[in-house]
Amino acid sequence: MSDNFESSQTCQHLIRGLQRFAWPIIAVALLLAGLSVYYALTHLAFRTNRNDLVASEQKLIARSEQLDKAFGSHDGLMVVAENGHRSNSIRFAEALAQELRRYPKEFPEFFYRLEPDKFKQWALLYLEPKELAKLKASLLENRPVLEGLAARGNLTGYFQVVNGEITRSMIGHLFTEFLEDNKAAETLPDLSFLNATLRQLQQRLEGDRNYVSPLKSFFPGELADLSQEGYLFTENDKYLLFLITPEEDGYATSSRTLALLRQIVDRVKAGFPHLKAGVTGPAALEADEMTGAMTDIALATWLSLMGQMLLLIIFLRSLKRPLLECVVLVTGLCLTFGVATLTVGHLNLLSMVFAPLMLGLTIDYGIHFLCRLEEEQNSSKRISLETLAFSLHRVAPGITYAALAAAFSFLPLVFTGFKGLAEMGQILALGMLIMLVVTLVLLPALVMVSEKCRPGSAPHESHAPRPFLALAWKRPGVIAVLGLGLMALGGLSFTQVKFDLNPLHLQNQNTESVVWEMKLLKDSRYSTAYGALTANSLEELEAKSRKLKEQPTVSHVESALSFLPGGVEAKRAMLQELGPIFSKVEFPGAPLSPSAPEELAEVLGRINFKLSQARNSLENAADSATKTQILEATALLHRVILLLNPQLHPESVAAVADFEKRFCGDLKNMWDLLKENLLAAPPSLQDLPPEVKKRFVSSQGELLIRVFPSLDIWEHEPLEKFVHDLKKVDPEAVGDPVLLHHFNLAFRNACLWAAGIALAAIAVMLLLLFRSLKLTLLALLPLFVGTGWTLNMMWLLDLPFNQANVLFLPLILGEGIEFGIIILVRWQMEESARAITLPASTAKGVALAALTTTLGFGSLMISGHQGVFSLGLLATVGSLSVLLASLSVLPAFLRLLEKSYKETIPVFPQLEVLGRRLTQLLGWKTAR
Amino acid sequence: MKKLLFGICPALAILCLLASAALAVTPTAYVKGILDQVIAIQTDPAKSGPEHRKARGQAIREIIKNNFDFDLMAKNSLGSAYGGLSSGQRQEFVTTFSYLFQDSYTRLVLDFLKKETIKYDQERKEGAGARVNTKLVRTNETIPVDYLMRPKGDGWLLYDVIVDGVSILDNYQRQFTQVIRTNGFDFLLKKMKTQKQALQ
Repeated sequence: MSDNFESSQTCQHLIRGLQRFAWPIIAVALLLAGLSVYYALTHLAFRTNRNDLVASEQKLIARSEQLDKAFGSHDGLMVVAENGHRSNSIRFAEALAQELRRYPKEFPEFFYRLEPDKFKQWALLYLEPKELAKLKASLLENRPVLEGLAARGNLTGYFQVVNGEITRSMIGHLFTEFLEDNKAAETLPDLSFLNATLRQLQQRLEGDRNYVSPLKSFFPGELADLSQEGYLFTENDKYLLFLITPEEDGYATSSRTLALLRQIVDRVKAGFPHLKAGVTGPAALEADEMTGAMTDIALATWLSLMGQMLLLIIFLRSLKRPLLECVVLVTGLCLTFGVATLTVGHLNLLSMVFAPLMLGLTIDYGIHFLCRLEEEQNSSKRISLETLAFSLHRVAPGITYAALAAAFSFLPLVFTGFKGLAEMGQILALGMLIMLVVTLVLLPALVMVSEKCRPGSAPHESHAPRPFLALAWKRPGVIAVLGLGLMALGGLSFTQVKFDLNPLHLQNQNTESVVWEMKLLKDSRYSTAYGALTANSLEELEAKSRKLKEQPTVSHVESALSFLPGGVEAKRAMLQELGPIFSKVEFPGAPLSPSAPEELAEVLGRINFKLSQARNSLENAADSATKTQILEATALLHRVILLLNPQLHPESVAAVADFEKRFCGDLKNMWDLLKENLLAAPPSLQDLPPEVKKRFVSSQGELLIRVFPSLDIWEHEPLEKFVHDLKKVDPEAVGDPVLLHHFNLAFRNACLWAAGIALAAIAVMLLLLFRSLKLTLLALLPLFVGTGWTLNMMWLLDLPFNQANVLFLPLILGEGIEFGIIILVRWQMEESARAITLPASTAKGVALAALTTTLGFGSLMISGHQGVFSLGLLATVGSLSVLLASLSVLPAFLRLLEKSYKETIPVFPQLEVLGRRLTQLLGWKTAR
Repeated sequence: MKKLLFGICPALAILCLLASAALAVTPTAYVKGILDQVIAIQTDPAKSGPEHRKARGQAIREIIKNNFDFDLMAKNSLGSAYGGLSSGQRQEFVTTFSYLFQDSYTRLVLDFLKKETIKYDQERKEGAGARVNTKLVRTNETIPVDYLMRPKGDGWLLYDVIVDGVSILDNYQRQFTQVIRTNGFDFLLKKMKTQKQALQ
């Protein structure tokens, strides 16, 4: 039976148009595609910042931008060195700094050390109260030594004073020990300064001219040797941090800069074989994510295209038609790139996956057309114009409804208020429509030209279609019930499937930036993501910092206060007590009279005499710090006394003189530093170095507070607690964790909302077109059943939803609806199709469409980016489930409903009128 | 009568000779005599080794007991506080001090004076008494040890030893003064007696 398609004026005009304009259509399409590609290559940008995914008018983003403007956007990159040995890490930092200075354009600013010289005059105030108390006690206890040393003013004098102290201790211990409260008091005073001095003297006498101040053992190390101070180590000293602010100019620049930085780090690391270092930081995390995803998606797109072509070749048993479809796909994709560049202007972390998704979804339109063409061609060698037109006429409604449904499934994303989703939704919706037009216009033109279609001698005769699987559908009820049962189970599964909101889980876990971020978090409770608050005065800053430190989720707080000493008043009171010592003791910068080696040897001999005795008496005693010191001291004394023999070592005279000069100078410098500290007024904000001020003090005097979490804020619950604690102290707190928290929830809710709205919109559209509630529900059946089965699989495999694969919901809408529409439209329009429930060519088209879509989504599974991988996996499982539902449950229901079809009464008569008018407009009649 | 006088005079003369012979012991000889006795004990093969330390200690202690002026040392160690004590307290203090000093000095001698060579340097008058400077000599090391003494009868009695510039008596004085200032004399005596009991 042939349908009366000649009466369709629209199709007549289309055929005539194709006949006349096939080549121009092809030429124009390819030209437009070329122009679109060129336009996209030159104008399409990539935005990697997560802030770009959220609408800029939002209060949170506005506040973040305000802070960025006030304090500058610094330290996007961070080099982290694992500190096996402090001095080694410091040398690495200096070597890296030297290398980075050769690239001022790429690395205009970096910050890795606070110059200690600028803080020298307040060095004592920066000591911890315990250390300051210890220093005070040490100075008071050693006052006689210091006074004696200052009076004698040379090395011999120093050792004489030490000898006197040792003798006094020994005598006191022997004769009046019983008067001491602490019975465990050592016989001798602390020998660490003596040993340190002897060590240096020995080295000098042996010819080593390097001088390391022995004063470290007397004064806190930070004062004695500033060369190792000021570097940025984590609190537990495990990692050294090197902060870099790269040039900012979009993703292309930042990825190049990151690659360059990694090359430089590798080059510098080569000189430090045992040191581990890597690059992380917010900019690195974003760039790595984008780079990894883009590389994978480019590969996935090509794989998807090639795989789909291969499938088409196998199913259609032809090379020509798959190639034609390939041209259509590529043309549509190029045009979509051009339109995306024109309307949006950039791709973000979400929208960059549109290419493989589009390929997966829109190849279906061409497949349905080619499958129907194959059926109508039957066994003819050539395709006539009438056959081409008939096939187009029959398949166009289904394809159009499917494309519209797909566009509707993405359109609600535009209204989520979530920029990332809105742009993706916009691009995909437009892409669906572009591909629809290209399929309906370009593909027939290509077929016409390649197959050399001519008008036939007779009108096209449509034959009765072959049934799918030649099954009689004997027990459709069982299949229907089974299908619905599994769908209902899917509803339960939905409540059990978790939503993983950890964005780090989406990334490739082997990416360098992720590895080092996790190390910092795990080992040092330091994250590159921190909360940001502001204060308008120092008092407010102190109050907020105090409150923040009380929060259990806060690890530590950084602000200008971190660079100012705390507890200043109490420390100054402690220092005042040292005033009398400093006023009385004055060290000469050079030795008052040079020490002769023999004189020195004689004094050291006396010390050795006593220490040897002490060593002998401690031989049977348990190990103690004193015993260790005594053993070392006696060994050093023995060696040094030998080296001081001028007959055996004539160079000892000059060596002693040289060492003595440095020792006296060292002592004077240290003493003068301490005196300076005593007199200096405490530092204020004005005294902070520029690199600190620009990070923590704005030009308006606002003060920034960075709040670091003590928990793993990449997990949702700890993140929620942390953000809650931040907001408790300041409701206007922002920063990456706050944005992340907002982003996580907003994104998830937006996807769910969009999916719900899309479903409702599609349902209304179907209701208008089918004019039947029953048929509408039937069209939705593969979607519901397939999604239910997918959810069952997710529950079974413990596969959670995440920020990437939640996109599966709007994707599966478009695809699930499409199969239902294709099957149902033919079933509704053609009695011959109703007679066999499901024609083979339709089933073939649906199967091929599903498999190509599966391939399109499945290609995403090659990605190392876990988010993209999980989207590919879920979408693959989803499309196969929808396919199965389309070819089993839907036909079963159709079989059950076939007999009652004619008795169907439209639910909404007004909708029926509207629907009829729409159908007439499109020029298609309802089949009887 | 003449016979008696002639008998007494020679006896007196002999006594005088003997007395002048005793008075003729120089401070250096006196110190040397003590140190020689001590070294003889320390180097006696029959008394060598840790198992004989106690025996050596007892012998050395005996020498110390006979050659130090504990009354003077005890008085000087308390400084001005001595004047405020009753005779009973003084006696008790001297007894206890003497015991403790002997014990401590014995240990000092046992630990420091073994096979060293002793060099005797100058000897000079110091007030009513004398000072002898010595050096304990090992292979590459020397320790100056000075002995202060005062005449007692025909001989001398030591009242202070200065080891490498540090006076033992000064040490006592400093420590005792501090304790008396913070806790009083009774506390000091109690501590000393407790220590004495612990040593006995």
